[in-house]
Amino acid sequence: MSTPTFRSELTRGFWRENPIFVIVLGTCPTLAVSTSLQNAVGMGLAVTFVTACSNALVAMLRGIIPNKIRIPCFIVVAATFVTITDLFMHAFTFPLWQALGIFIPLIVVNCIILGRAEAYAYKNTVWHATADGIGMGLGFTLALCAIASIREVLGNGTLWNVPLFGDGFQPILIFILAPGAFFVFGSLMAISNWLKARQGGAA
Amino acid sequence: MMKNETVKFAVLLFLFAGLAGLALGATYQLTRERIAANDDGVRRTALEAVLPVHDNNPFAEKFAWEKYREALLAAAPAEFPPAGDAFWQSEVFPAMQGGTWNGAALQVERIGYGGPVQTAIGVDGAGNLVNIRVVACAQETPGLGTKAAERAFLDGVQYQDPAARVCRSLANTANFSVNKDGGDIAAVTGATISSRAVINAVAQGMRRLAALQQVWLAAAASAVATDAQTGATRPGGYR
Amino acid sequence: MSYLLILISAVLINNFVLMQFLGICPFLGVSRRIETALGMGMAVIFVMVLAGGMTYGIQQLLMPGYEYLQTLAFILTIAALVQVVEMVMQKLSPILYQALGIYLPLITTNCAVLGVTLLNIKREYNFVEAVVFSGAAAVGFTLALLLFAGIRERMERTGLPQYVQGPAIGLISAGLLSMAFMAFSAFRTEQMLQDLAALVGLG
Repeated sequence: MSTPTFRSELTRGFWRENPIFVIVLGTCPTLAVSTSLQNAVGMGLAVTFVTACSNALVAMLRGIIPNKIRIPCFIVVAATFVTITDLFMHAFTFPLWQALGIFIPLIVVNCIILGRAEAYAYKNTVWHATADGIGMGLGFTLALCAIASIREVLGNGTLWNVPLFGDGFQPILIFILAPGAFFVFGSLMAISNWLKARQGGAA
Repeated sequence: MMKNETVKFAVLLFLFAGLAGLALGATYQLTRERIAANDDGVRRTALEAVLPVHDNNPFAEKFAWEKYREALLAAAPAEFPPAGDAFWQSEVFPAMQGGTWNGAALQVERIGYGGPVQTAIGVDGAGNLVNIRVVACAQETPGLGTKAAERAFLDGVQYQDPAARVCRSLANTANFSVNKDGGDIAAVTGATISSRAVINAVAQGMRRLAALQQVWLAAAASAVATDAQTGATRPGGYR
Repeated sequence: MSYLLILISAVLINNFVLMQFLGICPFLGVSRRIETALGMGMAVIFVMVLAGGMTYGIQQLLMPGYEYLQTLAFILTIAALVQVVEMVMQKLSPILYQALGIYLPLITTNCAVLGVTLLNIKREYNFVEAVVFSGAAAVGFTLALLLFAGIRERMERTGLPQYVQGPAIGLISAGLLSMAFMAFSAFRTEQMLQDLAALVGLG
């Protein structure tokens, strides 16, 4: 296994170990927030910020945090950054804050953050842990945007709130509703598995 | 041995949580004013939009329902919650035109499908629902319940005759509720609960304002009468 | 009366997993066998009812002006609660404890638990309503979990292509289940409950 660099840890989360499609973490907000591309980007950036900061702080403190109480410590770190994000969004990105609702405080139980703190940040340097955090967060954002784009275009006829089709377009409402979220997510996951299998076969 | 370790852990965790609390407190202080401005701003824009015709400053002259609580509870006890309920602290923004009462704007709220739905309404002195705007319904089903915030639905609530733009009032709308409840107003298809949240809140708000109008006019009249006796004058003839 | 409405709403009409997307991670992970699903469901009901009650109390203690500590306080309460449940279960029912394995501590990161505590506050429920809602949400979660376990047990005997197996087909099946549950929204629940009450003589 080659020596990890900032870049390798960063890009790992994009595709090879994409948190949503490969590791399957953080599925709750994925389904709930992917009704519009704007919400997806907003949520994705918030999660990226929290994961990166949380990873960085945990890596910084890994000498001090005793093994037995590491989970509660991770939780405190995650909750702190999530609340900071919540307050800043409430203050500076109000419409987005309204749209994301309770899923902002729910970032604290997003398995991505605690998962990465446990699996990576607790055992690696600050530099690499931050890269991993940013990478996982961006991978999450990319996956979320993929799902949201499909749902918004098919279910609402818009993309980034810009109407794409004429007045006569009848959106397929199911995509905006709950079942649509499951369908799009499941289908994209199947496609991503298939692509990976082909890649694996070819390599 | 074990006990020492547990104590050490507890202290460490406590310290940790304490530091976290401090960091959050600092962030809160930084963002507090912006947050308050945002929360108020949303309300204020909506209220400004729904006010009836006025030449005063309703925001400067706003008052809480509490001010007339006793009179209101005496006049229309069925419409109001008991004293001490949080409702009494909510505010009314009175509209004055030429020194006379021309209704008010206020914000009403009901639990809809996923959470509270806040609606701002403006009712003029004749009891007409001059404007209505849904302030917040972020918890309703996107694409369905959120349609309750759109003009297509709200026009049906506001106007008894949309073509002739005849506003609804308690007088001209026999049953101010959704069709499904035997009322005269059409709900959003497939989003009855969200529609009800808006309509029922509006109906209750209008009835309460009607009671308030009676009480307010009576109070103003008796104030004028007292002034006539004592010879004092008041600016504008009200307050 | 309104308690019945809260119950039916949380279990059927606005099912926590299938409509509100809270509790998806364990939903996808645990639901392969009906027995484990049932055990998990029971544990979650227990935790959620207790969490609902306890966080209600904590919210009262949070003086105005300190609401930003809500997320931190709630998640720490839930973590502590799950820890206690783990210890109790280890003593009382070691078999179940073994069967649930890692999924027991993972109840802490179950969005449904934190989600329901936040919703209790947001919907301004009183104490009894909060506890009823928490319990009902957990029952809804368990119901979805059981249905899903049944479906998945069946599916394992079919010959699905590799890339569709696992979470992918799980999500698509969940989508179909979600569509089925959407039928419950057509219930005129309040009218139905009023009729029921009149029938029974509650008025």
